[in-house]
Amino acid sequence: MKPAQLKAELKFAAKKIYYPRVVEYIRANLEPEFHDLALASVIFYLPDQILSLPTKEERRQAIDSIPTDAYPAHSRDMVEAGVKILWKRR
Amino acid sequence: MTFAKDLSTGNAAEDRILERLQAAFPLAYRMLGVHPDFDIWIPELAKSVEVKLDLMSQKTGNIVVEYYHNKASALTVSKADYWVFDTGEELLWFSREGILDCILSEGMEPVRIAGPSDRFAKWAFLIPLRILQRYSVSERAAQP
Repeated sequence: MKPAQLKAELKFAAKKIYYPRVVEYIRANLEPEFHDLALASVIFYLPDQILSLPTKEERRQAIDSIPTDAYPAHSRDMVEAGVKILWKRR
Repeated sequence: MTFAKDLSTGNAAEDRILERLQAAFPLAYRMLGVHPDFDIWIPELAKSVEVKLDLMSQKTGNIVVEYYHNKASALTVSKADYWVFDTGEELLWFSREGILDCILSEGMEPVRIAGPSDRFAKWAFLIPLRILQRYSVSERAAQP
């Protein structure tokens, strides 16, 4: 898979916002050999999408939809930190 | 450069950082063996440090922030409180959040890098040094 194609898929995946849907998209649209790479990459695309949600409750729900044992290990922490960073920058 | 030479050079970089840290924090020590969480532990502060040697940054002007190398790696697995990049000319200190801030706020996109000694391609962010510097610990501390 070409990097540009992967990045395009990651952007589509991140638009699903809620983690189970993100994972579902990745599994449905990428070959299995790219699943781990996609999961490790999509955490950099999710904060911006989560921040686009209109309420704090929805943003919290989206962050909480990431299991604490998701792959990679710090996925939830990274996404939460990312949302907070972008929030402060607004 | 071979993997063994890469490892040896990386270890030497960690030793140099450790020596500097021990001037202020004598109990600081380097983790031995494979230890993806962090490279140096500072008991006096209960803080950890990840050391990255990036000599190529002098030529390319970019710092490589790796996050996937056949499996999640570096940024996505390190638990270090601080990251220090040794460019060969200077040491740049960052918090983990500082690096993430740079990636997200600057809209950095991941790239695929296949180094000559790499069996598998790496996925990383190539961050221009002059941009990354704005997110260093010292620069962020100076922000109002």
